[in-house]
Amino acid sequence: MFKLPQEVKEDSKKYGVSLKEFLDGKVNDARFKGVRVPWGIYSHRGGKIFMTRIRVPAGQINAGSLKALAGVCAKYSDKVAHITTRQDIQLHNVKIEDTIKVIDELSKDDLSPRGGGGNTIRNILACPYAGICPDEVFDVGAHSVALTEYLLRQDTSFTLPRKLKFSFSGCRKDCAGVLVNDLGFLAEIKDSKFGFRVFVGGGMGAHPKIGKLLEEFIPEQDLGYIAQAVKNVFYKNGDRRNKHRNRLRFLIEDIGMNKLVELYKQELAQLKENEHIVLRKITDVNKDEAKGGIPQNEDSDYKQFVKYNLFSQKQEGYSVVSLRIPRGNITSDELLALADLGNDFSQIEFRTNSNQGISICWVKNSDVYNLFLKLKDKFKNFLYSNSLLNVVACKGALTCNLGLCNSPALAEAIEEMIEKDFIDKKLFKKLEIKLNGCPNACGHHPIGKIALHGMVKRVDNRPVPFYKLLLGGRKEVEKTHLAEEVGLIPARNVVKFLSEFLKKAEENIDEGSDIYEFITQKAKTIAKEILENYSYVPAYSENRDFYIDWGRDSDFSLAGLGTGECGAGVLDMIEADLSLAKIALAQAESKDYGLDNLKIALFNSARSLLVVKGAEPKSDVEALKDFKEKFINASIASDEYRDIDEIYQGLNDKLSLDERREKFAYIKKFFEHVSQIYKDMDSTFNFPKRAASDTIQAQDAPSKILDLKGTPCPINYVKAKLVLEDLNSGDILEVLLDEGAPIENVPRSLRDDGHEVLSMDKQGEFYKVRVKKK
Amino acid sequence: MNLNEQQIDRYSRQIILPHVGGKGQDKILNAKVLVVGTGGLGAPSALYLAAAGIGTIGLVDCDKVELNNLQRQIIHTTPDVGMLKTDSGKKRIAALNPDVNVITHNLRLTSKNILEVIKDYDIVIDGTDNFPTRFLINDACVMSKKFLIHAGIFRFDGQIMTIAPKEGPCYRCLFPEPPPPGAVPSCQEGGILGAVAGILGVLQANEALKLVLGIGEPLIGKLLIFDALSSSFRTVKVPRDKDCSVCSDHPTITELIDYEQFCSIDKNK
Repeated sequence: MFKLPQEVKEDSKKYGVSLKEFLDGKVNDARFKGVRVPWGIYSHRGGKIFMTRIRVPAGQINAGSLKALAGVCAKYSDKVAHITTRQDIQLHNVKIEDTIKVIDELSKDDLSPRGGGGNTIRNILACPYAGICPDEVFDVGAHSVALTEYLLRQDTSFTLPRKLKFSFSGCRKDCAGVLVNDLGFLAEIKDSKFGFRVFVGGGMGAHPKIGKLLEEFIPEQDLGYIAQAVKNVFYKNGDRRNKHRNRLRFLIEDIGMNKLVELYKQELAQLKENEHIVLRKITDVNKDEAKGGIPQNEDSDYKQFVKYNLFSQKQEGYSVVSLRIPRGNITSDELLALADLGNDFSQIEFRTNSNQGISICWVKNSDVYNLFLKLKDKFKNFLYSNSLLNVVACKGALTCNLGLCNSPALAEAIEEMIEKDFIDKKLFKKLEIKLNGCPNACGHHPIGKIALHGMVKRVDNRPVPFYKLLLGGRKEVEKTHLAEEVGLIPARNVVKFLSEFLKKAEENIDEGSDIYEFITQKAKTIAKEILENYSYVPAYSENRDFYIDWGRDSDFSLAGLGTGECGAGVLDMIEADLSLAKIALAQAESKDYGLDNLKIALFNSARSLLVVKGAEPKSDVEALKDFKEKFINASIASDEYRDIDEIYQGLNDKLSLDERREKFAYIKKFFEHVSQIYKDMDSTFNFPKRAASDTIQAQDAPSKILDLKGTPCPINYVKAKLVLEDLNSGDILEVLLDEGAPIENVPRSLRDDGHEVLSMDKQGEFYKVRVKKK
Repeated sequence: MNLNEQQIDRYSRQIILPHVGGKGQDKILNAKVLVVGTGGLGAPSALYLAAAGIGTIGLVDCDKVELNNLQRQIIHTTPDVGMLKTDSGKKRIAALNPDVNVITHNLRLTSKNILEVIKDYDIVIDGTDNFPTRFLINDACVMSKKFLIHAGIFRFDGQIMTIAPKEGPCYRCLFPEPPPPGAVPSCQEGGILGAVAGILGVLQANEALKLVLGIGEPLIGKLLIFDALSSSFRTVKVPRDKDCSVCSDHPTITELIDYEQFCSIDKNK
């Protein structure tokens, strides 16, 4: 099982500090967004409440963790969790002040939203039945979990140019879609050794692409090297500035696959020479021996359960029970009920899957009927997992900033229609529907056999909710195919259209036929014919229904639609500051060079780049000091701005208009200087150094010696503080202090002020203390 | 400016503070603050400012010390009764801190003299007890872009707000016009608990020191209200009045006004 790395636990304290500063009004929304989003915390539509996306590596979660999650879900969210197509579990309607409690409480059970969003290593997928599937080559779950642990330890995993998605499939059925992830590992055996075929550059989203072969075969012990090498290539070369075109697949498009392979090989060679990457070996827990078959019973639901929800494990005597969780939405009570099954069936484990369902593994065959009874008692719609009824749907426009249509409500209407007319039909197990509220692919529409994504068309001068129909998507290693566009349907007509289309499909397939034959050869023509009857949108006055989305009472509108937060990160924080500075400069220029605007411009210019250096100044004074230390002393910024803090302090209302104009010119120049440094920053956050200049000084010689022998506390400290004020950052002060209270107190106080105490040497009855100014 | 040994000792407890240090103390020693009225508010305010080392303190008052003043105006002492308040204040400050240069303005502020009086100061502390002067000071500070720290006290209540002209609301944004004469009882009629005056006066000094040091969040756009009986503070946000007759972009008051004096500050002369 996954163990949450200590580094993530430590990092959560920093999140807590940032959150507190945000709540205290010390940090603005744009900057805090750059902190919370890589923690998998996104704002809901409207920006007042939040979603927290908990990563579940390989979809594997045990009863204890599930119970903790149920508790947190009940305590801090709207009590309905959402299972995503990436095997994460989302909590919704979380108050921002509670996000730290969610993080802290879950981390005890090795769950975390770290990397659940933003430009990070996202949840690493694996087949939901890894380790138990009769078809698998070997268990890839352990690799997925170990790689997650390894990558979550690295800070750079959370400051990538854009998100990076990995997946592991255990066989050629390819449950985890190795060609529609940035990096996909397919289990293979070569010369009786375990290893992987590796694919790179796939992905869904609004601009999906199928991955390309990177390695024919890598032995399993090389897994960490390969993942690290690809990550490093992306980290160093990915375009951080163009958020809409900066996934790994676009980098490959820009530089070409050959160049990417070259960079990858170089990186890999270096890693092999310099690093020793060994992933944690995760061993299976031994399970009891089980024997016997599945109990029989005449209960009709039980019969359907056995037919649609039950699969044999590769281990004799064990079954896995797959539950349909409609639209992935599961209440905290239901989560708790699942976790509590662990009391009665002691060995069970849980898996989330990309159909937004949950499976219960390690169920002894002899327990299946008893388990069924317990499920029936607690769950309503768990039958028919992996069937046409299991419509996959994203969260849609009610909560998502990017959402156009209310996809879950449409999914529910589709399910009603299917439940009424299509259960047990020939197509029931062969077809699937994937639904998305917008062109982004949280609902995985690019690989749906039948897929729809939301859009908007203007009719009668009003926005009308529409869906684009796509057919023929498939994820199956080299046979992976992206669904192709067929036509547009007004949202109101989708259910009627699908009903008619499915009836025709049923007529056109045989029990034993390959569904893809139908999908690729006949389905498009049939769909287009039916579409003709359903594409018309009547005028508003004629039929208002078309102007109202599923599950809504009022006219369709795009109110609340916003930009996605998913790419928010370090660069957004920098740009937010620079834009504040720019606005302040423009205002200053138009309004008498007002002091406030000058201060805002100077402060924000100085602060903007500090985030890259890990500095989070708490005040304007601190920001200017940090800038001096980290940019001017480090020879990144020009020495001519050495006195920015004095300029800042000097911005008072005694200044005449002419003097303020002069300051304005200085600040504007400084702003442009910082902007240039930002432009020159390379994709790994490094800055070109300025030519070495007089800033390099003798390392050891103190700039000043202060003899405080005989000076009592606290006057000795006051004097040291006064002298330090006049030194430059990095200068060294040598202080002579008496033993006793002075040596006990003064160095501590200086440290509290942020200075570095380099050494304390006893010299007879006094001490020589060397202090480096902060 | 270099602090001498005595100054380092005298101000050591505030130099130690983060964000003060020697540079902060320098700012304090170079600051010029005008205290209008050496009464219930002005007395404690001026004493704390002097103690902190504010370099130049101006005192405005035209009254003489009376015995009934001593219940709250702690800058004056019993032997001072009958003396000009400004002189009494200067004497006391000189005894407290010789670093402070005290300038006495033994006069009543009017539309004619106020601009000349305030022009050399960075910050004005309003310790007056009547509305005509209060409005006059507000208007003059807005017109000459001076920080003004307003406070008012009545019986067991007090209020304070810092006015940064054009940046935050001014007193007229809060109260566009003075109340008609006689509508509001004066201290003489209403009474005042001395400690309430002390609390508000010290808060004014605190605001002034924050402005001088450039630290914290001054009460700009925020009216802090104190209730002595429940010992509670609350803060009320005060927006700028975009149509304010004096501080808006299209002011209707462009010349200073002497409202009728209704608080009988001259009665006992």
